[in-house]
Amino acid sequence: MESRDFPKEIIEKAKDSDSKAIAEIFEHYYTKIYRYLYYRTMTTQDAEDLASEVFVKVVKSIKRQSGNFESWLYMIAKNTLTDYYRRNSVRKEYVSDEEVLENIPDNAKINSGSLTQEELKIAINKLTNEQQEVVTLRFIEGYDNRETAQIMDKSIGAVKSLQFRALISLKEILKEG
Amino acid sequence: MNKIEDILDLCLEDLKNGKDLQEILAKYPDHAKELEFLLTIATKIQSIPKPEPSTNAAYKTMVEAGKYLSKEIILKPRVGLKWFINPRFAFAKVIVTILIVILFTWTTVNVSVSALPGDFLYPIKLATEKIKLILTVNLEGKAEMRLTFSEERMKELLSRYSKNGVIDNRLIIAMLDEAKLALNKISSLPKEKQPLFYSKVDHFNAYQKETLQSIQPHVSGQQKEYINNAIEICSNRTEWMQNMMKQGMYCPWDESPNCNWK
Repeated sequence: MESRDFPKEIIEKAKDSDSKAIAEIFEHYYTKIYRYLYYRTMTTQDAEDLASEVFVKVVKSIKRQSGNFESWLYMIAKNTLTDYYRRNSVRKEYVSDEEVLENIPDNAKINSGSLTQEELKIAINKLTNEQQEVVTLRFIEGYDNRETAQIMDKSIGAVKSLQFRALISLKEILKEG
Repeated sequence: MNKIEDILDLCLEDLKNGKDLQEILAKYPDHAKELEFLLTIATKIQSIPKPEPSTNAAYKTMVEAGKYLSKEIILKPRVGLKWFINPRFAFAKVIVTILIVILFTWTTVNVSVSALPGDFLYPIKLATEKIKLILTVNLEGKAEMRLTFSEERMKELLSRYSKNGVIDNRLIIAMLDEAKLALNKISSLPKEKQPLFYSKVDHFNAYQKETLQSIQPHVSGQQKEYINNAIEICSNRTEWMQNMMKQGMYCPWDESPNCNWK
């Protein structure tokens, strides 16, 4: 997992307004944060706007950063997402049930491998926030249990449990389709 | 260890390590049916192409973050910049601010010209390098920075070559130009400081030449020509530098009639 090795000295330099260090943080994390947001927002445009908002906040507040950098970064993303839900009053029910049912992939699709990015997005949006987060971090971003636990500020056991429940929920959601 | 959550996690780990699904399920016959669907879903999620942000969105973010960063840099007092916070230099402050704003605008507008294919961060890298150069007051720092930039261009050249086997001549030119600009700065340094920097440039030049020579046998056609030209320039530079060092004299840049440096 490359993020595990992100050099602390670059983060320290970034705290000192080193533009090159900030560019490196951006280069390393921008796509990750975008993906984290993509499956939990209404449109691609929203995910891009929020990713932008997250990085501007990172630049503005990096001087005050302490503790684990990734946890801090994802906390900003999570808070930005919460604000977004609040602003739009959308939360995860942003599509009507009818629309969800029309778009949900069925078991056959899962088994044949034809599940698409958009279909997965709709299914993930039916999960609870924590389940969404664990699915995104574990299966889309590729973080291991320890890293996911650190980012989510939970124990490894809690992550395993959430991961199990998230997959069970996805199974149910996909069966409904 | 018999909780289904733990078993699922072990199975996911096995899948990640390339084990066959049926082989994994055979280890847990009591849970095989339930696990099979969960593992299939997990595998499918992982195999779906990952969403990628658009280049425009990345630029927009970089510019937004960069605007804030440039304000930070301007407001931050640092060694060598004390003059900058002195109210007597208000005019200089305005000029530098304008330069930074122009730089960011320029970066955004010319992004398609200077970007490396597939690397949306390239313009911001160049922009931040330029800002750092503008904000570095002393000549030694500027010379060091030019060498660092030259090294960066070489790394980018190697990175692109290792990724898709393409030699980007723009990067070779930029790499050689940065080294030349470093030398320009050195010629303006006090005489006693020059030998150390000339020696640094000489070593760096030799290192670049060696690197280019290591690529040369693996490329052909026009790409070989680019590399050969660059090797020749490095050779001329080495010769010139060594000659200068032997003589203990360092001709002012671009003013020496015997200067072989291209």
